[in-house]
Amino acid sequence: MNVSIIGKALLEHLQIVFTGIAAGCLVGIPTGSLLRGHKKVAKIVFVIVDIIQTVPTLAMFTFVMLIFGLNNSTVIFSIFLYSLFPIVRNTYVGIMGVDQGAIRAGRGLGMTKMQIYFQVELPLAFPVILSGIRLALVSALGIATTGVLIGASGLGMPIWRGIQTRNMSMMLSGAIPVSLLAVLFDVLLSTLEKRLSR
Amino acid sequence: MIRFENVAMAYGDNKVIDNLNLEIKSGQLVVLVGPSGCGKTTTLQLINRLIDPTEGKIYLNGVDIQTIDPVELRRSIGYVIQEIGLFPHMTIEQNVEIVPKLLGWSQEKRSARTLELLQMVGMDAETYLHRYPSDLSGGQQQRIGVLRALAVEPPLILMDEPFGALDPITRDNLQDEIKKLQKRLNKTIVFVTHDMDEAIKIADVIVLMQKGRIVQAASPDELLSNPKNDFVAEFVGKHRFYLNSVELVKDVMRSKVFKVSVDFGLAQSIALMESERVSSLLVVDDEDRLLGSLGIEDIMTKARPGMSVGDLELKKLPYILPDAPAKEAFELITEQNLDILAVVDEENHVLGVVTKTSMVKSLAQVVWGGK
Ligand SMILES: Nc1ncnc2c1ncn2[C@@H]1O[C@H](COP(=O)(O)OP(=O)(O)OP(=O)(O)O)[C@@H](O)[C@H]1O
Ligand SMILES: [Mg+2]
Repeated sequence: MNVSIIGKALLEHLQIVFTGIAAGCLVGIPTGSLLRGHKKVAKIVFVIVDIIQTVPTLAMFTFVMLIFGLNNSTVIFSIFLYSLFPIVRNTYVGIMGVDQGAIRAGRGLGMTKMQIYFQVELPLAFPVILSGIRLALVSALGIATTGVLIGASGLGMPIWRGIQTRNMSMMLSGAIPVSLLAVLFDVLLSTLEKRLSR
Repeated sequence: MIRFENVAMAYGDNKVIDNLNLEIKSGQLVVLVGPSGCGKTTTLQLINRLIDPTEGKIYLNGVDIQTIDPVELRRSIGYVIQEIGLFPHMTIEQNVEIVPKLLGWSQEKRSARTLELLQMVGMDAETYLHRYPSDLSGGQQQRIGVLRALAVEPPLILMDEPFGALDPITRDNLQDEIKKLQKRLNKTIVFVTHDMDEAIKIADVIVLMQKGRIVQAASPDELLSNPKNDFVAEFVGKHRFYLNSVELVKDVMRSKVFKVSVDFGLAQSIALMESERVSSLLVVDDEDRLLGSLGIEDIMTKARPGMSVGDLELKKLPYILPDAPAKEAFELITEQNLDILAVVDEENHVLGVVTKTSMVKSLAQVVWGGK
C-alpha cells in the first residue's frame, strides 16, 4: 500500500470534512444567535434541523446528489446539513445561558449591542458552541467515509477498495487513520472546551 | 445635576416607581435606602437609561436624558451593578479597562490608570492584573467592580450596593475612600444600600424609599432627629436614640473636673483621688491649660516618695471643643474606648470632661425626654 496515496486520501478527507463544518459554523452560529429571544421561531427551526439530521446518510446523499451530482460537493453539502443540528442548538443554548449580570454590566458600561455580542456573549457561550462543533466534526468524519459510495474521494476509498479486493491491509490503511482522526479531534476539542470554560 | 420630575415606571400594571420627584445636586453623595423591592435599583437604572420611565422626565445637567443616546450616556456615567458583573472570560486588567477602551484611550494611558486604581484599593498589580475574576474572593471582585466604574473618572457615579459582599474592615475603608473621592474630585454619587449605618456614615442626603415612592429625603441628621413618620422612625431604628444632633459637647459635659498642676505632690494627688473616688486626674499648667492625665496605675508603678506630678510621664488625653456636636464626643469615646475625654477651648484651657456617664444621661434624656 502506497503511503503517498493514503496521505492524499487523508488530505482530501479532511478537506471535505472541514469545508462542510466551516459552512455549518458560518450558517449555524449566526442562526443560533439570532434565535435568542424568539422562542417560537427557535422551536420551528429546531424541528427542521432535527428532521434533517435523522435522514439516513445514503438517503441524504441521494437527495443532495440531485443538485450537485456524483462528487465531493454532495458529501460536503450533506455534512453541512448534518452539522446544523448540533451547531445551531448548542449556539442557542450557549447564548441563552450567558449570565444576565454580565450582559447588564456590558449595557451599563456603555457597550453597543454588537460589542456585547462579540465581546461578552459569544466568548462566554463559546465552550458550549465548541462542543456542538466537536459532535458535528466527529460524525462528519464518518459521513465523509461513506462518501466513497457516490464517487467522492477521501479515506473511504481505500476501505471500499480493500473490501472489494479482499485486501485486509488496504482496508486497514483507510480505517485506522479515520478512526485515529475521530479520537484525536474528540480529545483535542474537549480539552479546549474544558480550558475555556471558567 | 440630576432632576426627576413626576417620574413613574411600571412593568405592565405593576407600578414600581410612582411619582418620583428628586433633585440631586452636583458634588453630593445621595444614598437611596429602603426595603428590598422598593425600587432602588430601578431608580438608579432610570438615570443611565437601562430603563426608561413610563411617565415624567429626568434631566441631567438640564438636558432631558431621553434626547441623549443611551450608549453615550452610559459611557459618561460610572456604574457599579448589584450583582458585580465582572466578565469571567476577561482578566482583571481587561475588566477594568473596558470603558477606557470603549472611549479609545491609548494603551499607556489605560495601563497607568489601571495601576493607579489597583493601588487605591490596596491590590498588588503584579499579582492581580492577569488573574481572572474567578481567582478572586467575593470582596476583591467587588472592589474591581467599583474600580471599573471609576476608571474614566466620570463626574457622576451610580453604585448599586457596591459593598454588600465585603468584610466590615474593607467595607469601612472603601466607604472612607469613596467619601474622600467624592469630596476631593467633587464627584456626584448616587449610592444604593440596605444598610442604614452605611447610609448615615457616607450620605449628604438620604432618600428613604418605600413601594416606589420617596418617604423622606433629608440629611442624615435631619432624618435621625426628625423622622417624618413611623416607617422612617422604624427604619432608622436604633439610630433614633443616637441623638438629638443639636446637642453640643458643652451641653453634656461635666464642668466639675478633678485636676492638678505639675508641681502638685504625688501624695496629695492620691489623697484627692481617694476623696473623690476617681482613678485618674487631669494635669494642667499654671494657666489651667491641659497637659495630659495621670492614672492611679502610673503612680502605683513609678512613684517614689517626694516626687511631684511633673516628674512622671503624663498620658496624652484626647480632647474636643465645646461647640462640637455631642454625638462626635460619644463616637470618640465609643470607638477608642476612652474613660474620659477632655473639653478644652481654643487656647487649650480645660472647661470640662465628657465621660461614659455623660453619655448615659444624654441618651436617657432622648429616651424619656425632659431634663
Ligand atoms: N424585569 C422586571 N420585570 C418585572 N418586575 C420587575 C423587574 N425588575 C424589577 N421588578 C420589580 O420592580 C420592583 C422594584 O425592583 P428594584 O430592583 O428596583 O428593587 P430594589 O429596591 O433594588 O430591591 P433590592 O434591594 O432587592 O435590590 C420589585 O417589586 C421587582 O419585583
Ligand atoms: Mg436592587
